[in-house]
Amino acid sequence: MADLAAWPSMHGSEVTWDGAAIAARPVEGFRLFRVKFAGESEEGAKALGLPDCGHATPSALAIGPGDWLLIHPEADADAAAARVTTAGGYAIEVSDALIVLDLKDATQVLSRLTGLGIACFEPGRTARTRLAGIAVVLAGLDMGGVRMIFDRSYARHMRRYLDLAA
Amino acid sequence: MRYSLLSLARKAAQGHRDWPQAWRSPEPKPHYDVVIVGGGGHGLATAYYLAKNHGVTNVAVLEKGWIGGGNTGRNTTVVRSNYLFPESAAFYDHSVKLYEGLSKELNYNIMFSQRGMITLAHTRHDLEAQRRWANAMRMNGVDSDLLSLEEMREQVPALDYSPSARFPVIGGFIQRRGGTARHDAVAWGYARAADALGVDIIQNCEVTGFDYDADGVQAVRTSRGTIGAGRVGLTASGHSTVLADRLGFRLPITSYALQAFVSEPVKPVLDKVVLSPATGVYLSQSDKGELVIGGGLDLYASYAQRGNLPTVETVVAGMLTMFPSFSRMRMLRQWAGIVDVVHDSTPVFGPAPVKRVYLNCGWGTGGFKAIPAGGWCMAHMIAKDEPHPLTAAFGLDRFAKGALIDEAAASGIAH
Amino acid sequence: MTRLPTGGLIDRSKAVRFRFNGRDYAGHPGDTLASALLANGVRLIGRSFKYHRPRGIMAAGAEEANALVQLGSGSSAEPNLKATQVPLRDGLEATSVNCWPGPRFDLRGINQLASPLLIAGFYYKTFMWPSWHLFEGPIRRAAGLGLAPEGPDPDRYVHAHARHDVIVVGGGPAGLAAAHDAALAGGSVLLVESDFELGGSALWRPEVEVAPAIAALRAMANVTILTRTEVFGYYDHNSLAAVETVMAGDGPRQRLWKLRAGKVIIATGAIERPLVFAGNDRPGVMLASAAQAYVQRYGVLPGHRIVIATNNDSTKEVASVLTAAGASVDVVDSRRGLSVTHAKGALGVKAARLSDGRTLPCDLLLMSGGWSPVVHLFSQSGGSLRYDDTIAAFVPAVARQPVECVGGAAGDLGDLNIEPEWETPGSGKKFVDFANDVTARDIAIAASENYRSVEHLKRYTTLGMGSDQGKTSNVNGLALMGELTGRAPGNVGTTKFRPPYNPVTFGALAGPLVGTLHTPIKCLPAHAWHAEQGAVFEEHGRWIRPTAYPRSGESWEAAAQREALEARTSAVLFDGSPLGKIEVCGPDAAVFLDRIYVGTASTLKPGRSRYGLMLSEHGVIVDDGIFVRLAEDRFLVHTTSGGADRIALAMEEWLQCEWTDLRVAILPATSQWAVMTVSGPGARQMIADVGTDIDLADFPHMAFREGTVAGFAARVLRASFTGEASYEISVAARHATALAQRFGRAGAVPIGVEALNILRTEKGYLHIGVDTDGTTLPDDVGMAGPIAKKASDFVGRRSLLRDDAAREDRLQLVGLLSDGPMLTVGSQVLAPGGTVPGPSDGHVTSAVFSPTLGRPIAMGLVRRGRSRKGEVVELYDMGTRLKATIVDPVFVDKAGEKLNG
Repeated sequence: MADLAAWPSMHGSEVTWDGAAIAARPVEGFRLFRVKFAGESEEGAKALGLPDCGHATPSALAIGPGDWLLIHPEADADAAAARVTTAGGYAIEVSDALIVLDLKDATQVLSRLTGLGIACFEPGRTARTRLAGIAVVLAGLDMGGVRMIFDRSYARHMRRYLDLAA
Repeated sequence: MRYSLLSLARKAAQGHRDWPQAWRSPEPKPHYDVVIVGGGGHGLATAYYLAKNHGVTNVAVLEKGWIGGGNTGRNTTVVRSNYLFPESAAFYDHSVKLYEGLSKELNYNIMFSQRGMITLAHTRHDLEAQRRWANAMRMNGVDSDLLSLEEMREQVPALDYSPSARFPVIGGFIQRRGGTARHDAVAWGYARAADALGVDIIQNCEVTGFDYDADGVQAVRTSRGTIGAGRVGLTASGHSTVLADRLGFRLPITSYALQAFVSEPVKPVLDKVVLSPATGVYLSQSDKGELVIGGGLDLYASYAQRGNLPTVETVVAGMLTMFPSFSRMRMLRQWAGIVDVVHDSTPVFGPAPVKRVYLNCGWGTGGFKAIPAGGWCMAHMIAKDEPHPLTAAFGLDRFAKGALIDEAAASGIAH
Repeated sequence: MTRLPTGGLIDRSKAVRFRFNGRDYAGHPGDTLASALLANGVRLIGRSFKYHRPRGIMAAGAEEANALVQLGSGSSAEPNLKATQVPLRDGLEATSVNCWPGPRFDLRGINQLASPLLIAGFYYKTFMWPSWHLFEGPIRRAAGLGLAPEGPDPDRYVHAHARHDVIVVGGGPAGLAAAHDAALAGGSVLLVESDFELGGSALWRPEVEVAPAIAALRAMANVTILTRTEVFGYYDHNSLAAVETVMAGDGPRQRLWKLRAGKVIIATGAIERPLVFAGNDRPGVMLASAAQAYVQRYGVLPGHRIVIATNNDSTKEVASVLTAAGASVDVVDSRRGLSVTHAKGALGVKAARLSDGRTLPCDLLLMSGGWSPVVHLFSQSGGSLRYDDTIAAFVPAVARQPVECVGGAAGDLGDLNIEPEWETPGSGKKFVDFANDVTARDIAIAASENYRSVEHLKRYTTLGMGSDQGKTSNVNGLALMGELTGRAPGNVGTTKFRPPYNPVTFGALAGPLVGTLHTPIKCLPAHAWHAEQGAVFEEHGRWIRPTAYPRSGESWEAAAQREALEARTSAVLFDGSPLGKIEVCGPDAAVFLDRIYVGTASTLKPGRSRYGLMLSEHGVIVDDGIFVRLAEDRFLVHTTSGGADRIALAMEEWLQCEWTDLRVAILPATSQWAVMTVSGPGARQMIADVGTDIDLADFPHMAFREGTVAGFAARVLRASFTGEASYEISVAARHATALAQRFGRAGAVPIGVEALNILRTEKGYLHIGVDTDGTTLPDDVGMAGPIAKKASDFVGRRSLLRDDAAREDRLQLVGLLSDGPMLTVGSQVLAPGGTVPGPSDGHVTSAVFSPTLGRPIAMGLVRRGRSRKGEVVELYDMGTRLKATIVDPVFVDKAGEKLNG
């Protein structure tokens, strides 16, 4: 039997992001929802003010055709999810499924690592791509920052990658 | 002329002048009893066995480019018969047995090295699945042995056995009679032997269409003219669907690029052929010292004989995860073939829907090891107009019947 | 050979110390290993691949075919580097390859005696009797050049992407000019140069002024320059790959660049060709332009009495440079009817024999057989080539991607006035491919034997397949073959050019995703808690999960036995978080699930669940799971732990590609929910103890409730894989540890994957992929019932109507009881009276020791198994034979009463 005692194993909640070669800070205090519509999404998306594919508003990232992530502070998160239902959409909570990291001064590095153009990381833009072999959502922040969102189960893997990738 | 150390020495004494042709380059005749489309290993072996086993010598092998220039010259040279199901095991082991005597049969050294093919086990589930596999092989009369961790360390020292390995090696199983053979030599050896028996090998001759009707095929249209044919064998891996299209039927085959590469030659560092089911990567070291490495397909349909960089990265990453000490070595050459993938990873072998046309295709990533048995059975089928018992289960009709032979596990490479 | 007193682009003020074959030498910054060795009078570098002939330095760049060295040792070793491409650095240690004890005296030099037999392809003609195996060992030990490193790579490698409007490959005069023009036109420009200096041919032709262009480019904001970066591949979509040697101290050793270009300009220059005469491989025989490079760039004069053999005008410049450096130079021009037929001097050239019988003493013999534009990348891009008679070279013809060649790479070679002579008359070994020891005679033999196509020539003689990849041999070889067979070089053609242009480190190709970063692995939300409980972990389908929780002194196997028994007697806790969870929503969700599963979704009421079997289009079982109806238009679908991502993707494919009219949304939620399953006769009480607002008295098996457990919002499904009353409690993953702790304190015994396997085997529950394989159909595992009941169509239904699905001799899932010993998974069932080898009647799929029954139990797929219950069969396992009785696969609680607790 394989003895994995020597294995680096930790779930996202135990990973410390301090000291990573690419500076990363976990973002807390938000709830996240994955939003889709069954069938046509244009009307509902419009009603909710959801952005077009590849774009972001302060509270929503369009991560694919008809596919959004909502980010809301705890206070109005439930109301936001309810609005989705009213508009005919489906919202499921993914606050625990995903981890949100804000990467400092990261546009050049991420452009190099992903092959996406720098323009993809302007505030208001978002992209979904592969990094470290997993799916990540990247959203541009002010001052060259980039927000990275991915499955929390891979946190340890990503932590190691940030040290070795550049 | 018979090849031997003696004849080599004699020629050396004569200054190596006038070495005879290995095969002729004849002009195509207007008609042949059998026309084989595709001058790779399978086509040339078919021609050889038609002449040798069945006395059918009025045969032409038509090759679009240069013989052995398709998948026969592009594979990773592995020969094995470690298959799960009895039908596959019987066929591939017949091929291995033919390989065992092939150099002497053809009087051409194909350098079949039965150094052993090892499949690694990384989890207990792997161990269980491999035990079934190893037992099934023995039931099928094929050699197999399970290896303990100690035996693995001894036989493949360069693997990552450290506790922090991504895919810990906890055992494996071996087919000792498996190994590698010089792929070009197989094509050339069969070509020379077939030519000596009167078969015409016509290179630079592309088949562009067929003359056929409800009574079957009559002729093959080529870039060098129309050639009448009593029977037609299709052995053009990578373009089987194109040929089928020209005969008005479809095959359940999708063609992909499969890349392979070699390292620079180094002194011996790997004795066995080793496959990891976790990475889908397998490698061996050639007699010249080069590591020969293969892995998964480029995952888009293509006839280009050219893959792209992402697959190279994936395969190399898999190799280095298994063999970390190879990281500083360098890739020297890289190439790709066109593999015809069938969804149950078993070939399509049998009569075509057009009379007097016979199919030998759908080998996916595993056609090289099948060459001798493929030729043997194809020759039988063409000569006798009935499938050989060893390939009766591989016919095109199995899809409608549902009698699939799912060798995905046994073919060793992700599809 | 000497270092000239002045000149060269080296820094004479600093000394660089290095070691070669155990002896210490010094050079200067700006030297390569080759130039430094020449400056120190060392010209014997190694032995050739097959004949073990003494070899020296023949070139000054990537085209070097003889001077291979090994750098370093142990885990830092780098085998087979070209000494001409190794920048000299302090402390460098290099050794010769392929010779022992050394290049001067090499034991295998004895191969040379056998050389008449060792023609190209000789191994195809012999070594057949008694068998190849007898000869293979010694041949393998003699083969190979350098030594593979031992131990893992101490360095790391990274990947980087970049895209530019224009990428210029090659920083020589033509490349610099092209980059400058492109930069002036606006847009981003990348200039890539493999050498550590820009300048290309200007580095050894100081009269060509490039400093202004270089300064201008460095000053332009839209220009990026990469040096020590070699472009090795040109791929589809106008993309290039290059490897950069990174000079930063603690960073990666190499960086693989993946470049996208609006347009590519190839300025890779041209490579000089050798002449093919006897002894042209001797140390001290060199390409003419290389000698010029050693003088002009490195300040090294590689010889004092020099003979230049040539067939073109490019050597005029070489002659004048060498003369100016103080050497005596004789030019032997084959256009005037005079050739060098022999280079004499085994360990280093001493004299040149000429075609008129004269012998000229020399210590350096230069050859120029013409020039070959470096068209490799252009050809890799899909571009076609044509043969240009005026320069006797292959040049780019038609491009297939946005790419253009300039300078030498385009065939801009000046007035060569070349008269090619592909083989100089005379006897002796005339080398065409130095790396693989292929001679002109080998090519003649190949022609004679009809290996005449350029690809057969290559593969039969191995021409062009060595470390230098044919840079100096391909054209000479194919042209010679053409001459022998009455074809112009253009009709013979070149072999296919493929990446890499120069060998590329595997580490660089792989990048950082190797070892522990290969195939990303996932950890459970409560991982730390499991570790605290003493779990031993294994990987299960990309998740690290507890196999068992051995207490001190206990093996994991014994722990699993204890844990399984607890499940049958008290209450246990199992972490089922990897269980796939997908929310399938929309007005057509039920219709969609009806098509995807055997098992009907549309008749399910909210709050109820049903077992779903998922088939492939072949009717083969691919997954199973419980689906729950949350509301009219919402379902919660569970998949096997390994199947979550794959099944969600398959669902998307059906919806996006086939059933585009269905209004369904697929929302994967696997990682959102941690699943703590409480199971056992004491499960219900334990949940009550921990606290819940769910009415446990009104909560039957296969029902679903939402509420709170231990104060946390929870979804609870009464599904069981243990056969005991089970509550699968899903909470937000952040509460996983807290919930586990609560149950732990309440007395729940944690159980691992192994115990679960024991429990489900006792119940005869299917484990897909273990009890089934790529051929198993529903009826094989006793699940034909639901299919018969279902009226509507579903994926795979049609395939179940095929002949093979109705075969009466199919393998069927049954139980197997031995008369004592454990059965091994993978044992084969023999046909009655059967032998080994012989037909198989099935195999054992699951086998455990049942603590509940105190005996081994097993499941297997057996031919006609269901109609053979009670029969005793023989099993075979790697030489051992055992007997077992076919029984029903449910061993414990056959009526399933315990589920309802």
